[in-house]
Amino acid sequence: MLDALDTPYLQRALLAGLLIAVPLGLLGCWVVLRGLAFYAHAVGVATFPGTVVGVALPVLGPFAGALLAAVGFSLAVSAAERDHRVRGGAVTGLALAVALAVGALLLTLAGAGVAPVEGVLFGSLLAVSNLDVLACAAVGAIGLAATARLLPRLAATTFDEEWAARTGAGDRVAGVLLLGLVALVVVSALPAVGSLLVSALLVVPAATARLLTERLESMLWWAVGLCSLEVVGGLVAARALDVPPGAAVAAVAGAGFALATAGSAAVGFGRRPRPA
Amino acid sequence: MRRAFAEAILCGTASGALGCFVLVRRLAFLGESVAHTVVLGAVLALIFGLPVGAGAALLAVITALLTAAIAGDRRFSPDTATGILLPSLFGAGVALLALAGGYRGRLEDLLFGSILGVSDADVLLALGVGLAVVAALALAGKELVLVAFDRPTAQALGYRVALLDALLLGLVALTVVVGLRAVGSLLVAGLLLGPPVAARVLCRTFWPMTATAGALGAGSGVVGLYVTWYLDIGAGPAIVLVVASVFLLALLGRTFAGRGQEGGRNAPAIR
Amino acid sequence: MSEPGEVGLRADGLSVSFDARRALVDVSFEVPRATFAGVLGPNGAGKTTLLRALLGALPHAGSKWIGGRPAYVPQAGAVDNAFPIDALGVVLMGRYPRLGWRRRPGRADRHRALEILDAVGLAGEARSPFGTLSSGQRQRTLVGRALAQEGDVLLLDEPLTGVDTPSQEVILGVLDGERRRGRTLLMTTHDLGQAARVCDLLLVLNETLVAVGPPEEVFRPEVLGRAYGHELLLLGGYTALVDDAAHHSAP
Repeated sequence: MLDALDTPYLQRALLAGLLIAVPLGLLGCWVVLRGLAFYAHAVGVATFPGTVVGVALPVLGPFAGALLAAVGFSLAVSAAERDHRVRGGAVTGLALAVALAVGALLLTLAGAGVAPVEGVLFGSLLAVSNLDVLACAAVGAIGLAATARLLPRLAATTFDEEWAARTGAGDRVAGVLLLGLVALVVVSALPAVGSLLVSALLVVPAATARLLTERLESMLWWAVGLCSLEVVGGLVAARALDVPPGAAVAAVAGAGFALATAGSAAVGFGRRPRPA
Repeated sequence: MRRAFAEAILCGTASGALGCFVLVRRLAFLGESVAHTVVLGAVLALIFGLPVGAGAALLAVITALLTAAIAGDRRFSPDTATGILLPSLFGAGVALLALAGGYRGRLEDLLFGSILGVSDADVLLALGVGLAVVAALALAGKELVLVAFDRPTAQALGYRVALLDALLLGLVALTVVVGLRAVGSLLVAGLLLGPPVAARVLCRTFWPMTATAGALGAGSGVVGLYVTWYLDIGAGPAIVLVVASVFLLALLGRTFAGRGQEGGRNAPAIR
Repeated sequence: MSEPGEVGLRADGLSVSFDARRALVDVSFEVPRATFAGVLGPNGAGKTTLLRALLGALPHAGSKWIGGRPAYVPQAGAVDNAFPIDALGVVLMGRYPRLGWRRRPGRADRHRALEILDAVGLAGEARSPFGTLSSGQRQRTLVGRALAQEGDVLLLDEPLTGVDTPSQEVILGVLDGERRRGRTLLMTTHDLGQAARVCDLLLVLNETLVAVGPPEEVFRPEVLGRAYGHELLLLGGYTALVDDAAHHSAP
């Protein structure tokens, strides 16, 4: 199994995974604390048709195609969700199904040779190029810098939106920037883990970290650490067992959450707060 | 082909009508999650040689229970609980299928459905689920509406709210299992949520909305199959795209008819 | 009219409407600097609306003026109690508005936050998660956050509702200290007796401003009767208020 680490493509995938795990873990904490898991899942899935178009049109490329699809999806859904009659994620759910249907149709139209559907949906170790590694490094740096800068504003608004808005400690700009950053990080993680399960790496490590600590700073570091571990574990397992990397990473992350739940219950980390 | 039409009509009606409750209870993400996690159940059933529908239904129930358990922790919102379980269980299902072999064909069937290959038993299951949904809505419909509209009052009036929740989630689970065969795991959400949002745009009150959504679901299934036949594209994607077109048409029609600015701010009025 | 330097807070013909419903009609008053003012009035009288309008959060007619930077304690219930943060972190948030986008809180900010925690009697709970504090301790922390803003005018929305008596006393003591330091305070409250005891100036509100003045002028049956109507019981020299204080804790 360890021999597999010698193969250059796995090394590339691992390097890209470790680089992108940093912003995935950091932004994932805000996804968990602000209740953005459905958005994280949706924006990942919405990249599917964009990736297909990008692969079919070399002028565009999969990265730009996926990013355009993610941004277009975010704008369309946030417009539809303003309609009070259908608020609550139903339009998001419909839009997801449409994105998948369109992606599947485009794949059939483009011909089977363009891209295997499993590769786009669940990622592929072979799909990670040197350029992808560079993109992950750049997005990782952007994510790290942006999270550090946005931290006070996001904390103030998430904790108490009314106070933050009145006093100028936080505002909507930080929230919108967060959504844009999530989309960017999701798109960078696509080659390795695919569009269907990329949300696992945003939500699950951060939620696991939340189980382990009551402090924001340590939650952020725990999330980065767990996300890195789960990416490495998932990618190595995918290579060793010959399963799709997205599925392996998500299953490893889920196992991590289950372990942390069991562990914290046993150790008593999960102490109930004193009744108010 | 007759079986495919029967399956499409039954599945569309049940999903459309039941989806209205998913819409007003704001359970869209849970519906999406269950649609994915049933893949794990289907794969386990395949491995152990059990009926696929039974395995999928079991996982749907487990998903609902685990979601409720995680969301019961003050640190996690229902959104986060769903966001944890959806990829974890779905990923486990896909990984297991790959380990078990026979990955490609099976996976595409699970993800995008195979309505053209349904058996008589599948149609019978869809019929049973359709009848169960209609019967449940006829018997407990007004109670389900009450819980959706004003939960504390329903509790105060002595209704067993938890039981009604379980009934609704059980029906959603069954409908998703049927939809899994028809349009696949990835597209079930479209069938479950599309007709209700279209009907919501067209109707002012709840029960006409439910009837409209059921009819739109069945109609979209039939039209989708014709589209599949003439254009030679996948049936699941075709049906979902018809559903989405119906929603867009409803939205456009409503806007151009000048009745788009309806007054009500909350859930639809109840009759 | 007083000299500008002596005024802490002023409203001039302030009116607010939500859609067609009028919430606040032509309210004019002046609170001198270094004054502890209380806003009284029945449910739905527009007390919260007045505070939010003064903070510039609502479209309004008329004008308002705040003498310096405002600090704010919103009504309880808006806070995410599950957020992973300790009491010190919450108080430290009060420093964020002045830090802007670029800077993070530094040593001086932490030092000030610890002093404030000590003042509100929570020095021992600095590292306790906010969610595990009692509701009185939580409210003291939120008042601490407002103190950390070091605003010149402190606006507080029902800071004492649903808070245990020892915590109420701690909060009132700290607020009195702020007044002595020259800060202007405006607090909405349900508790007429407490308001009469601690406030220098009372504003009685019921959509319009019914009365303004020191407690001994405002606490007259005809004044309170105009604001509270049938909710007020006059019992041989005692004034009792039939009020529904529970509405603030309802979801």
